[in-house]
Amino acid sequence: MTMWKEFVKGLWDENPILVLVLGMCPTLAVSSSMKNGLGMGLATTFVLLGSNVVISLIRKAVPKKVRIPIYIVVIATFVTLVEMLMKAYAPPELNDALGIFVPLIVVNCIVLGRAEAFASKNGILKSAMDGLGMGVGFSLTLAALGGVREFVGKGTLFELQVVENWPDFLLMNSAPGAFIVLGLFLAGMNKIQARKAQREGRVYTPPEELNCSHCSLCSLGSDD
Amino acid sequence: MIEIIKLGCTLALTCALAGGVLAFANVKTAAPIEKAAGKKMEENLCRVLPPFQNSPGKEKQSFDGVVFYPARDAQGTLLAVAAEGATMSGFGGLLKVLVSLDPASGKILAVIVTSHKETPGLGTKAVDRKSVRSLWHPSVDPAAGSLPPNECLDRFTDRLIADTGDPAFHVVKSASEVNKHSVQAISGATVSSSAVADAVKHVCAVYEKNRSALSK
Repeated sequence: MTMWKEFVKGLWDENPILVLVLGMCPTLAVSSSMKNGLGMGLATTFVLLGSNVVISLIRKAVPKKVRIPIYIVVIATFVTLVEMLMKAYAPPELNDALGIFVPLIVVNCIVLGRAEAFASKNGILKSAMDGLGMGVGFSLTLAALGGVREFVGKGTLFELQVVENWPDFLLMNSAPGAFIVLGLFLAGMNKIQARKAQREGRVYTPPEELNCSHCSLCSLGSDD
Repeated sequence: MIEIIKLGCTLALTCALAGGVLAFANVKTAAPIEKAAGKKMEENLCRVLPPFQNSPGKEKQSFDGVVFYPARDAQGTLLAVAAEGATMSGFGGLLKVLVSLDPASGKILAVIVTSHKETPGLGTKAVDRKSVRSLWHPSVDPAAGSLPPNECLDRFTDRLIADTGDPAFHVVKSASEVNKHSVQAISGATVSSSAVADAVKHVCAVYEKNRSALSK
């Protein structure tokens, strides 16, 4: 049951985009269409799963002081490996659709964030479920953001024209549209959480474990 | 001091291990990647060239980093030449274009981008050719049998090779500035548009320089 909990928390309670607010750079750039969002999400899920498992495996052998460079080496190796394998063996259509997203994952802070905050402290199975859940949550949110932007911007969904003769709404296709839609999503998420908490007679606070450990910038090189 | 050496050794070991894994994977995947790329190239040649009877891949010639593929009919008459050129000025670095050129009229037939690392959703606006199908008629492809449209790439079609290969050829931002030595960039994808123009310009310039050798 705890395994299931680790998976589900990434979908809603600790959603990487809407609650942790991690990985904003790919979120804003790639959510221009549903297909792009889903593609980036799936590629990230794969790397997240792999890097979480490897980092959880080596967590006891890694000296605390150099953990961040070691995690980055592991993640970058994984990404390069995925890129090479996809070019060689994946069907050309899949490679065309996902290939451009893979190199972007190295700099995605969700992967490093989960390595630092979760995989380095938990067992292999738990870390795998965490990576999978975070990845699926990331994919679904990106696809939803992309869907809204694509529909409002061009009247298409998954590159299929839903409404004929839709006037092009350029704002949605460019970066400002991404900020606006993401802002509305975050506001909606907070509203839902606050209302839920109110009904249960308490004030909404983000989950306690979502502290600074997700952004390891200020604790780089520290011993704990 | 001992600690620093210990940490350094750990890091070095990790990197060596990662390097080893990658080197092994690189050796193992090199042949399949090349095979997949060759197959992709043949498909791309069929997309940009008029129907041909020879195998352009076997007759390819290289000049100044541009690879030319001649397309001939059953009698061996030259129909068109496809040329693949590259530029490093894309937003993500390397960007490769495949341009088909008509030697008879001296015009560009079509441009496609064969390899790029542009940002999905932004730079890809200038490089991806895809047609939009309707949700209500998903089986009808509006661009069946021809190349799907792309605003940036289609701006090169029917331009004179000599003008496009001119050193003065450049990218402009508004439609009113466009003349025979310039092409309009896509808003939101200016760098990618410039990279495409840069690569096409290079291909055209090399073609002009070696025209006699390529007209046989």
